[in-house]
Amino acid sequence: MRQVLKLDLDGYLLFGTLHDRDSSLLPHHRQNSQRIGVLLLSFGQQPRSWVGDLGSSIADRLDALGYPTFRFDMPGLGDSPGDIPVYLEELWRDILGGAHERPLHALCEDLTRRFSLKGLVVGGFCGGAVTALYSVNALSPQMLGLVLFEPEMALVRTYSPAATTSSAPLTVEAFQERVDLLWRRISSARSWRRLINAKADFKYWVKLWHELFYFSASKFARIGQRTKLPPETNHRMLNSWQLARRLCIPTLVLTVGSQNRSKYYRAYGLQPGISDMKSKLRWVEIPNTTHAMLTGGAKEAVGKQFESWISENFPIESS
Amino acid sequence: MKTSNLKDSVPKLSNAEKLEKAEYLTVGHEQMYIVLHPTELPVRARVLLAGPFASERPHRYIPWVRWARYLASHGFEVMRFDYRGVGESTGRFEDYSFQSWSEDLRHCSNWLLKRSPSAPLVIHGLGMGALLGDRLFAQDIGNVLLAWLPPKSAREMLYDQLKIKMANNFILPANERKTRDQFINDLENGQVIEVEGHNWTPLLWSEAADFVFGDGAVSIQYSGKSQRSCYVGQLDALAAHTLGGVGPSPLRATGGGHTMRLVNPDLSPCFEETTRWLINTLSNLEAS
Repeated sequence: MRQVLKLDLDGYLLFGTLHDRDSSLLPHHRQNSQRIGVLLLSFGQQPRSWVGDLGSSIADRLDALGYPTFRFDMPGLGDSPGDIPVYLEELWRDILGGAHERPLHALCEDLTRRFSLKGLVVGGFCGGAVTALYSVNALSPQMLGLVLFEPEMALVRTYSPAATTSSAPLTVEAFQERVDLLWRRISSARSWRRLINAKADFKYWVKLWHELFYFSASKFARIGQRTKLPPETNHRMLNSWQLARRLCIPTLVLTVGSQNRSKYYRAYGLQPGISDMKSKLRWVEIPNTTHAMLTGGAKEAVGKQFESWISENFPIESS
Repeated sequence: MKTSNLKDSVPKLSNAEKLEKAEYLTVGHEQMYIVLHPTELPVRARVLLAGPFASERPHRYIPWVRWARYLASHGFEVMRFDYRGVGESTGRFEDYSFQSWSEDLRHCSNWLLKRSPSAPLVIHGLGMGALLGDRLFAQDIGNVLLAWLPPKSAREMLYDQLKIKMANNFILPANERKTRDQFINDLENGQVIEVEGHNWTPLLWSEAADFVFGDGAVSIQYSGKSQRSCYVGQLDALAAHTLGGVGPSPLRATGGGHTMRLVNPDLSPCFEETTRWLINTLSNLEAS
């Protein structure tokens, strides 16, 4: 059973589809309170059913398992009104830079509230995977898991100046600001007085040592590994990736299992096809297929992987 | 031309966009997805947009929706829909074919004709939609038929779409690659083949033989006295490239060392010309 949704969120008018065969069968108070929803985002310029209707096919499968599944068009795409650039590469650049982050955040909040969901697993394809990954930054307790199909690690090069601003490595800047603040505080008599009088800003010190620890730990971890990233690296996205790993957010990554694609991900310091139980990462490579993940039986394989991952990580409680 | 970063911009929406409505109609056991673009102006006519074939749909979606909005802003009430088994409509693609998609179009036209106040009906098809619209128009439904990029026949269209299958199959081991004729042979021998995520059945191929553009149509050309009119729209290079993937992009621009591709070009010259033609045709039909 599908249902059309048209939501007005902070000025964004978004069209979407809900796959939920249980909604009409259960009494309202029991419908969703402990249910986990899935939100799927399309890739790049494609409408919300995705190329080859892969998105709607996955949503049908998850709905059959009992997970209410939402698919939405971001502003200017599919049925949702809004402006988009003339050229595809400019649209991709905007998406990879976080153009859909705000509407996604508003959407996640609205869906969990409107349908009284326990939380959402957010999934996306290519550029949609990047937007899904940015949802981690909100540190929302309702964001329960991530499913990333063919995530794009590189920013798209155009001649527009916007690309250079979005490629700036944000964490390094933030870290540098903290170092400057540290030196200012060390050389400040007032700061020492506050410390001696036990009026120190403990939150500041805790956060500082916490960041110093992770910064050093990541440096150590990268000894012997690739440290220089390609110039077009989407640092913001990599930071979100690392944040997701630190927060141990259950994540399923599905990528094309080809030598070229593996090489691509390795260039960004990632390990395609290798899962990490500690940070709850499962990375599966689908062989003999293309980026759209349709040919060579991939449409079926991708759906099965998603089903098994969500059933293991978010089992449905029998009432 | 918009090149600004969209990150912090909230879209300014027109009233017509806010009025757009999407819903499901029940057809047989399936839910058929429709979108209605109402107009704020007095209704000149109702336009039923019949979209392209499944594998073309995602690539033509943006200009197709833009066209619906353009028409709505010029006094036309527009309806577009997804065929059963495709896009937002429910059903398995392999269970449907040209005959059932023709029925979907007819179902939508009936739904639109029941709306009030009554207004002339324009059937406008793109690609496969033009083939189906041609068939419906021949059944004496609609006042105007407008066709954009109609294939000569459904078989020719399927043959052309097989190029996607061939391109995708380069990823497979060499011994699994086939030519288009070999794929057609497989279909004729009763096999199902997967093309861009959709399973093509022998039924799809066999029914395609019955759909030839202009074959069954009553071919009523506008004469000044006739109550009906059909027209194959002549698209400029930009519109043909954007709406049908025909020819290279006429708006080439380099970005990042390669030619950038179009996603949302300004198609207003094509839209204006077609709208003018529609308004003139409708006023002539009314006068006659």
